[in-house]
Amino acid sequence: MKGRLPYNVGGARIDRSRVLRFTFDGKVVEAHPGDTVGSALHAAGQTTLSRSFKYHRPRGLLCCAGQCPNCLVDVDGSPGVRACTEPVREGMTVTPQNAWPSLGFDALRAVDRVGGPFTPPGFYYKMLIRPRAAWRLAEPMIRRVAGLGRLDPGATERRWRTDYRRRHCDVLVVGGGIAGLAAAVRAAELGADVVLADDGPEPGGRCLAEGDGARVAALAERASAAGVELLQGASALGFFDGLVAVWQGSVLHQVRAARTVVATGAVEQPLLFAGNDLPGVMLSGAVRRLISLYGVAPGTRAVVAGVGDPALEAAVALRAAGIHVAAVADARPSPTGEAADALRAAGVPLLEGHTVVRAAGGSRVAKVTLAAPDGTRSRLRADLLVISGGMAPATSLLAQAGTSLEHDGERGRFVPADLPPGVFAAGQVLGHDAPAAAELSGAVAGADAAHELGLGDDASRALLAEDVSALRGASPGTPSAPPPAPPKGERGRCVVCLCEDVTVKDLKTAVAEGFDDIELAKRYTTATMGPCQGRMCQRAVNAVLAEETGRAPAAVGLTTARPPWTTVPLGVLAGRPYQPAKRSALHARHREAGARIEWAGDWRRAYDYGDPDAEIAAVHDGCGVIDVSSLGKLLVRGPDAAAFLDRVYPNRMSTLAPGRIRYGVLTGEAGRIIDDGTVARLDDETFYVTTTSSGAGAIFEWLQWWQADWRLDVRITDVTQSLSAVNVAGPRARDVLAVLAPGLDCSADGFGYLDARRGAVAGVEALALRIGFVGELGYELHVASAHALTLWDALVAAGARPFGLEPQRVLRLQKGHPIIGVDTDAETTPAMAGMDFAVKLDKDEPFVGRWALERLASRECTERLVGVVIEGEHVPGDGAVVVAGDAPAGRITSARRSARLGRGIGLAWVPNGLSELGSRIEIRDGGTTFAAEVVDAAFYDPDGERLRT
Amino acid sequence: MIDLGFLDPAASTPPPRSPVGDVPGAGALVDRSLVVKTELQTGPDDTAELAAAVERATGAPPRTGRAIEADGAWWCPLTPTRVLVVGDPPATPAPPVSAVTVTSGFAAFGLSGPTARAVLARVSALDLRRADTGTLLPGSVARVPAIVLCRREDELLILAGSAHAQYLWETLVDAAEPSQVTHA
Repeated sequence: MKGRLPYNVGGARIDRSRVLRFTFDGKVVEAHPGDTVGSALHAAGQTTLSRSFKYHRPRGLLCCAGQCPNCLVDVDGSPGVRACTEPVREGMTVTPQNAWPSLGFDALRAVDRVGGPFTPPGFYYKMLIRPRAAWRLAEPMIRRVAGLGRLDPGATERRWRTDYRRRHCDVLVVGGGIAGLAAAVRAAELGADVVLADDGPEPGGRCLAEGDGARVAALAERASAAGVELLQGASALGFFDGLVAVWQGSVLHQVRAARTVVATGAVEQPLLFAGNDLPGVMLSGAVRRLISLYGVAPGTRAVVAGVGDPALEAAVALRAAGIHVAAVADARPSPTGEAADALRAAGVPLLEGHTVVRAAGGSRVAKVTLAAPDGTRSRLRADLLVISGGMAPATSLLAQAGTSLEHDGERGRFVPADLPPGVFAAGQVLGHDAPAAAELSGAVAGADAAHELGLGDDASRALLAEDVSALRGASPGTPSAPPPAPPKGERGRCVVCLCEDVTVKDLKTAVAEGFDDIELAKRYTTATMGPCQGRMCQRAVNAVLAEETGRAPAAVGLTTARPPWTTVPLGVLAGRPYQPAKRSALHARHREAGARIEWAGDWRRAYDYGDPDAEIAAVHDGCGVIDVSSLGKLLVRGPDAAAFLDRVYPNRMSTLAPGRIRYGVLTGEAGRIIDDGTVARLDDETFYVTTTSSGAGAIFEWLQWWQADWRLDVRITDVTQSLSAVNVAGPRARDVLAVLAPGLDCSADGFGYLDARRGAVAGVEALALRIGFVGELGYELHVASAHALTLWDALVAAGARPFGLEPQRVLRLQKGHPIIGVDTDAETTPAMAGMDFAVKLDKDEPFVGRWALERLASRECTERLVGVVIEGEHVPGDGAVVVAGDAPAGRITSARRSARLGRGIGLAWVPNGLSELGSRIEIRDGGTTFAAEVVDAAFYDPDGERLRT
Repeated sequence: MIDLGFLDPAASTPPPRSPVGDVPGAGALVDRSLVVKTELQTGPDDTAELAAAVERATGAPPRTGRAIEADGAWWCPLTPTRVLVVGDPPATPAPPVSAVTVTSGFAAFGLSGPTARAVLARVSALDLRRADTGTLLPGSVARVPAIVLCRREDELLILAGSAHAQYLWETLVDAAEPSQVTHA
């Protein structure tokens, strides 16, 4: 570990007494517990950690804070992991990504060397248009050359568990720096339930590496004592209308807080100069973290360049660590303060008004060119160039919450202008750079949040007033110079967006081509769209566009802040793979019987049991049984129940005798069909209503909605899931039922068509409805779901053959029974669907949709649902187009080949002119044309003799 | 006239088939679906009668968001016109209040132990921070409509439509796994 500093210098986070080993690019690397992959690799002399996205330029540690894209690696098969924050583990396998054949020699670097002129912004829009095949050829190559890590497309199982965790709290503090800790402590000590989410491994933020470790440790202790839930390694991803998503390892916390304090700090910005992305170019904060936390020497001979005190303080830290500082270039004309004084006293050349214009080297910085205010260049030898372009407040979360930003011209950054209700900010994100001021602002925000929740007392309010006053008088932080404009005439790429390899030249090209708005430039160049989400480049993009367009930075603005603010594995966003599914009480039996289970709305249903034709034949010739538990089932009870149903159905239900059933279609206020089903009258005041499977929930709510207005003396109870239902159908159905229900008179006279009866079937109390959707003698048995298995087993044992949804669809199609929502749509009226028999416009009472139905009755339908017989052996698919004169004129809603009828049959929407019986129509499905004839839709047993027998 | 006995599992001869049991240990997930559930309902103009019926049975008037335990049953007001009684069935109410057995309509899963709330937080956004004995929270559990009843500080009863029972059970078992909650 040649890059380690002596034992007595830095390394607060590592345990130097122990050694761990992992591999990087196949080579064994030694590390100490507490190291990150990045710190260990740098200590081992591995300064190139990755290759850039587009040009495959070598990249090394830049921020050491999980902000930039420079150290993305694959860890144990997970791509896109930031080496600078990933803790080392014994035996882990770290692999470079986006390099071929190796990280050290990447042949794809040729794109950088010779491909520049051919890959301007939007090159694929410009160069790969003609011939058309060019894009098809180029796309896979571009995808291979450009990119980050690779996922295993063959992976079918998740390798690690992901969970959601919902957490409600009074106050959520985002950011565990000194401001966030102070906010959390104050709010919690006033009695608030506080959660603090911090993306670092321990609370403290930048203070840990910058000399205030004891102060933040004390605050963290107070926070724990006050009951603050500290989430470490937890990044806030986004603000979603009061919900803040926080990613912590394999858990996604969904935090709903009454108040939120955003203390996300600021992001140190790079400078724009030629070669600014070379390994060995590091931000001042990174240098301090490497030294202080990991005991790693960032380099041996450093040049420092910056616009404010952070650069000078890094130079002081470097010297203290024994690293030679060749020169310090400060963009300010006359820097003052402790750090400047210390450097001058130590004899370090402090070059006032100077800035860096170029870094040169092969795989690492070797030479640095500085420019004096008069433009004079000086060239220095160095393997480390420490830069600091000032601090950009991390306002993304605040902006997502609705905060507007304004440009602080003096300090060259965007700061929050006003905060939405319930949201507070503290620390550097508000511009309080000095730790003391940041802490004070945190305490103020925490107290404000708690007070808004009704916590605290007069004493706490008095303390708050003192803090506010002290904060007003606090130093706003050291003055810094505005970041210098990118140099002109220097050789080498000047990278603005490190993630996407977008250069100053690219942005200028975009502006010249008319993409002069920051949002347009973003989309055209992809600047700010990479893994850092604009952290490192938003301000630079703003500055370049401002210079090129001649507009003020405030007018140029920033791009819209969108979640996620931090890169996050998709698996974490997806959480556990939950998909709600409704299953009947008989589901296990269907599976045991080998049923093919398919989705039917939100239900999992038996589609068939392996031989649909045989299942259909069993219904026609013997006895079949189908699980229809998904049907909606409602009890409508009360003195006004009959009147209520007369108001909701176009049909007349009040005349129904107890023990009788009537079909009903439901229409909305526009007279369009919304559902259908049966209504059985159980007694004078009790009706049992069935609906379609998909309409069950909606119709229950719809009925309640009307009842809330009418306030009739009615109770409506949804018993859909209380009851299971099976349909026993076929010429032998009566025999089967007679055996199992000896107390039930199943004779044609005793239990006629459209009769409802109560009785025990196989010992299970049942409501039996004699109805026939499938066109054969049939009984629908409704029983408490807890007994469904008993009933089903008894029916099957008595000879009823299970049939599934697909056979049922064929059987009902043979009868021409439409399925609402399949054969009808939102515009279908009863007349169009041939269901006007269920509309009684001669009723005296008003009913839903009456006005519309009366008007529709006076008009001719423009299209109708008709039955069609299809010529030939094959049938078109559902949805096939009916054509007239080579133009689309209608569609097939259902079509099947009926073995019983020996022909293809279907239901189709056709124009009125083609709806006459005997009309010939043409159907197209893909490239196949079918000839068909319009016929009566009741293809099978048109008089219903089998049904009524 | 057809009575509503077909809704009541207890009215049938064969005993209903469904696992019910208690699991010893600090944390448990138990299927209690066969606990009797009865829905009391009244018309919109008779809510006072329903409230009076609840008060007679429990000694306290119904309050939104609070269930009352009385005589082996939890009385759970859902709306001013509807009360779900979970447990021993109430005496047949006098009109205008009416009762319907909905035992089979709801799956009921007991989740108990010190990690019960943490387990629920994996699958539900319901806020249980201030939930004490008797707290009644309608909402969503694992993306399906559900009612959570806080039977004790560390014991929750989750009621959801029985069609979602298998899905919800599997989801809760999965959610309970990291907390090593046993299930039966």
